Amino acid sequence: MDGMPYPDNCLRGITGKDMVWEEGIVSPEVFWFGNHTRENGDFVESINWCDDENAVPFTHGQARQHGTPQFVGGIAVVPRVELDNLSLKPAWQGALTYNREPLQDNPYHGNLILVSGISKRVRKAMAAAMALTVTSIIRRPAESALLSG
Amino acid sequence: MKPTEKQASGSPEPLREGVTYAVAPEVVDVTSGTAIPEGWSIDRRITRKANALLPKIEDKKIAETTRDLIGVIEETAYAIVAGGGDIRSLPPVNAALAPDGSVLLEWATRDFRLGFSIDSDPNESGWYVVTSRQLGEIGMNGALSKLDKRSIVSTLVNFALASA
Repeated sequence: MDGMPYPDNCLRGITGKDMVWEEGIVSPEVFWFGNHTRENGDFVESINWCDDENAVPFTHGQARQHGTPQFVGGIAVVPRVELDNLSLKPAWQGALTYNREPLQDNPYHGNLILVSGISKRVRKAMAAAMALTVTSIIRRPAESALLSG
Repeated sequence: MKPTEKQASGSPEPLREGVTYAVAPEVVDVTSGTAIPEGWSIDRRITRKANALLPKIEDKKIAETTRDLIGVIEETAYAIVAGGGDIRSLPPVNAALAPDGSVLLEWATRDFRLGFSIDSDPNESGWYVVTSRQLGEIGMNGALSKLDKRSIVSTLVNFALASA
């Protein structure tokens, strides 16, 4: 895919607290590819690569334009091997790929990419499959402190 | 619809209104088919979140389809109970409203996702089953419009019960 090696996990920020249904279980909304597409029509959604120990606090610290935290629901951790496994399935036909796309203010940034032409209905089924690959949810530090008493 | 209920002779008390029964007592012989009889309280834990979402759905067609689907889920659960089955292990249906106005109803555990997406475009409304490696890595999906809702809901409910 790209030159720099990929780490074992990618991080998908969870933008709403109601998208965490139970401990370790996220709503497929976290992986719904919306209408955000590249010029060639491929669907994209942003992730951060867990390249080092700073990737998680960096992701927690990402803010919206008006300064409020972007990922109030926490961070979903997805093993890269699970994404590869999904894409290899006959029904997926290699439709899912990923890349690195470091930004000026985000060196960890990358994308999950779904090939163009997939209907909304099927994208939602794929999102459910991706939600199933989440191995853990890393809550925001303040929440973790509260939960641990 | 008024049900017809018969009690076996020598059986204990009849069903009481407002009481939740997780498992159907043997005395009841409900002849009204899958329609839930008046006065019969089922465990609405399963569809509580889905029902709570209904007032928030702005699109009338989506709301109507969602309401119908919830009704079919409840009737299916009732039919299992009325047949002597136990639905206590059935997880509650999660519900979510998408930014585009579509609705998601889904049973979710760490090992499976069984769901419905309801869209304003009937061709974009669908169902899906995805499971973990432990449950065979099943991945299936289809259009909701092409199927009898009762049969797909029954399949999914029974799968969820068997796998939960």
